[in-house]
Amino acid sequence: MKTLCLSLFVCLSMAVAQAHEASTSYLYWHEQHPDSLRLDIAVTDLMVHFSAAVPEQLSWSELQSLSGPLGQHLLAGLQIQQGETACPSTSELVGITHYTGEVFASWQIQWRCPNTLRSTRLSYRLLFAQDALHRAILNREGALSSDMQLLGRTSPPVTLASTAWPLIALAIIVFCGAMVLAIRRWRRSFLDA
Amino acid sequence: MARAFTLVIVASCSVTLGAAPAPPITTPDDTRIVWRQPDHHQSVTEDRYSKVRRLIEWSRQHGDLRALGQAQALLDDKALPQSLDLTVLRAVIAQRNHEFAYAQTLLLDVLSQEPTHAQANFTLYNVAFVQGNIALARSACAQLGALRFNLIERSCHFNLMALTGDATAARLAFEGLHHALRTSRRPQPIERAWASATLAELAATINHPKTEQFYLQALALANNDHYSAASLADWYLTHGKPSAALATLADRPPSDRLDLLRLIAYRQLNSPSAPALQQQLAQRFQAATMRDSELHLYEQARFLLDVTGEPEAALVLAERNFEKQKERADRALLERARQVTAAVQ
Repeated sequence: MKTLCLSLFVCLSMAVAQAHEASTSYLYWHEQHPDSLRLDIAVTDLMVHFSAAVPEQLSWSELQSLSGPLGQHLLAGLQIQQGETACPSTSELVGITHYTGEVFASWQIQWRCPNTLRSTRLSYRLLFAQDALHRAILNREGALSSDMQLLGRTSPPVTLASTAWPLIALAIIVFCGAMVLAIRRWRRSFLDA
Repeated sequence: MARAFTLVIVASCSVTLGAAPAPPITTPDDTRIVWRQPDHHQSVTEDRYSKVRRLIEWSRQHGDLRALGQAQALLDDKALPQSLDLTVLRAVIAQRNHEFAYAQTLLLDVLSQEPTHAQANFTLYNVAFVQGNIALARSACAQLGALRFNLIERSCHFNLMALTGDATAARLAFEGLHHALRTSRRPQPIERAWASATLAELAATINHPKTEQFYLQALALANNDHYSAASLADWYLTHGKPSAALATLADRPPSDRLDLLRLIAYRQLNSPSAPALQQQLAQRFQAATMRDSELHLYEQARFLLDVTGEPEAALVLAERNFEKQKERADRALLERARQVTAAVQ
């Protein structure tokens, strides 16, 4: 009986609504710098899940000294691909920032893909194995449009592509069409003459 | 600002939104402490079941979704041998994530194999009650009685009676539970705490003159029952006692619901603490919206109704909230949002 009662305590009273946001990271990609993105990830997520030894507290210099191994964890969960080819990436801890009062570490992620003209795909797999409620919010900023996308455990890879490419393609088609019309008109006037 | 915030909330059905500006990056002094270890992470030797339960309990007490996510990740490990107890814990996590239908499926599956599983019956009662599935709640409640959780059975029986009946039924339910509490022979402390909290809620429902006293009795039995503390604080606020509401909420976690009540109290007192807390809550709700989270609908709706004075936007969220949760507070908020919206139109 006692065991049962102890067991019941798990949800005896209704939970208060959330005090701490669920684990969320933020990604910022801008088409002017297509081979890099900014990753903001909570320091608590880095330390609890990726640090070999969890200290009681952490200074900025201590975080910097851990940036090598932490960066490797981040790169393992952030795969950049072009077609089937993985693009080698690097990470650099650049500072801290804040979201709703919580400290986040800001990282610059850079990659090098074989073809700079082709779009790349980002596969985000960070932290899902450690925290099933973790999500990432990807902000894509383009010259013509921008959007925000929520990435969860089952999200497919997302494309990082310039918003200008569809317009360039359209411009080329229009240009070719105009050329064809001009050539036809020129041929007709040539034949008439 | 408030208008823009409202628009973001109302647009939150969509997963894809316009990009948000990135906050500035700073480089702190080398010695500046940027992080402190959260309490629940302190390593203790325990098996996985105990760890999951500890994380769920921590999450329940402190409103910490990270702990809940970690508990779920531990349960998602495919190498973990499956058991009915673990399935019930999965259901508890689903309940906390407001995935009530999934939680119900898991619990019914467990109960088909072990009908006397106490935790499964208890969680099923809660899940069914929240969803307004009275028949299922009633059957889970009866099963708890068969398992000799008599006071809990009386408590959920009278709670359902009050929820589904008229004012007379609510008064009879209150009196019935009051009598059951007085005559119950040596109940477990946990049963008495649960029944006392339900009695206080019923007292508030019928505007009993001793409602405050019933809540204080319930909190004396389980001081960490933040749900009852929030209900008492809310009762104080509706009776023009904001200082008593703040005293009730003192030393309790900064959850959205408790902070919202603190904010309403500050505003009633014209306290200079109100603007900062209001901004903080607005940021939290905005972050939840960016995550497409529906866990904060009640608080967001109430924030819009009672703080920023936007009843139409509040009504949209209160309706969405009521689609998922049909407890007294959800129903009362929806009715109030409807009334205020109708009054301003």
